[in-house]
Amino acid sequence: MAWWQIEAALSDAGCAERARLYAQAADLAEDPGQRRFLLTHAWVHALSAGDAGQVSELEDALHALGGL
Amino acid sequence: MPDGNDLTRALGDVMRPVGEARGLPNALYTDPAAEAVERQRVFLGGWSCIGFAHEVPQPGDAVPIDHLGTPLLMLRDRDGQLRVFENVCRHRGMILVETARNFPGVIRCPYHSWCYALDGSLRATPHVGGPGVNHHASVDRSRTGLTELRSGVFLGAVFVTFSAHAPEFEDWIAPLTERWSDFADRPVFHGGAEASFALELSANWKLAVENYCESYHLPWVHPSLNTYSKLEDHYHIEMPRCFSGQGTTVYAPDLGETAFPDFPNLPSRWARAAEYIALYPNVLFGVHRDHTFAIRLEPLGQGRTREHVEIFYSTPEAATGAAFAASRQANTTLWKQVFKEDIFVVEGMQRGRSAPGFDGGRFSAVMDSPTHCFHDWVADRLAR
Repeated sequence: MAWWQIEAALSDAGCAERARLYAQAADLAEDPGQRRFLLTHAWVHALSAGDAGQVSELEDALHALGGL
Repeated sequence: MPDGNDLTRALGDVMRPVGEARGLPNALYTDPAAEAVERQRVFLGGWSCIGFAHEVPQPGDAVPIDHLGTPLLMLRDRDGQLRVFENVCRHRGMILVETARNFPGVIRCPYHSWCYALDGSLRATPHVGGPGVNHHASVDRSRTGLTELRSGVFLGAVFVTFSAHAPEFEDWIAPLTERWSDFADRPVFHGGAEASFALELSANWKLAVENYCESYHLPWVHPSLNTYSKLEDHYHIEMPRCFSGQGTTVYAPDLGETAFPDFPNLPSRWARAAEYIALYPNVLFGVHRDHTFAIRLEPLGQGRTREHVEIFYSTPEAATGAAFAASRQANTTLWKQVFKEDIFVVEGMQRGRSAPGFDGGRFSAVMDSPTHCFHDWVADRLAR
């Protein structure tokens, strides 16, 4: 998925889907700061969805980037 | 609002023995300034009822509640414990939850997305240290959880206190649990949508309490109720500074062919008895061998009150089973009729309190002592 496709999909998505889409967008980001920013959004939506497994993965990624 | 000396004198007159006392002064039913004082001393200074436990049956269920202007959030946490918080983000004071819903995960503030776990702890502070930096020394998450209120549940009703000086819930409710020890520790099962209704009154909430806790009016206002539960079968219930009400030794309504199952192992005295108690300030309970009810009084201003009526049964089958549907409907209809019959008198008393010559009224020392018991409690709380 390209970023414009992700952005379009975000508008109608629930928390779990938003978490997945933001994580996808983070994978596309080349700048570490931008990646950390997008992972933060993925993390917040995963927390809202109550997806403990995804939260754990995202927190590991954020730790590695200095976001937590 | 009477000035300090006049109010002190009026409250002193209320707290005299019932045969010599006057009722609460008109201003306490009509004056907005008196409402603010009452809110602080009568409600926020002690325990009061904010809702019902069945409103949040599942973990993650949350209900926003406006309690006398204070935004609260009642929820059930992941361990099944009912909790009550201020419905406010600790960051910028934004309201967290606007409508009842289930939270599968955290509660996210819609403003800056600070996230709270269902135990109230602050779970996430996105971008708090700059874009993508989700921590900062200026925000100690371990000390910035939601503000939790002490809460407790009795016969399905949820109580909170804002006061650090209020007794523990178990101590506060003890006089009623002792009187109703036959019911106090039993589970009660809400009868679903058909066992829940609300009535709006153009009257101050105190008048609903006053009317509920005396039986004097029954033959005049409730002729149908009086056919099976007569005035002479009633007795007063008074626990000064806690609750008052009435009981009957003859409870025998006709609810059709399918009788509800009784609460198991009740003492025989409940076979035909029922009791109706106003637990101060704002909940009216009724207990019977086969069902209970609770009415939460929600003050909506000095001259308006909403009554939230909820009926509970002895077993899940009685509460929701198809076999009892007709009886549940009949029971709801019966109580709705009784409570509607009271509306014209509480609204009439409200209008009467705009008469400057009305001095609070006289009590019958024989028939009105439960009402005087309530007035005495209000006067004591206001006089402190």
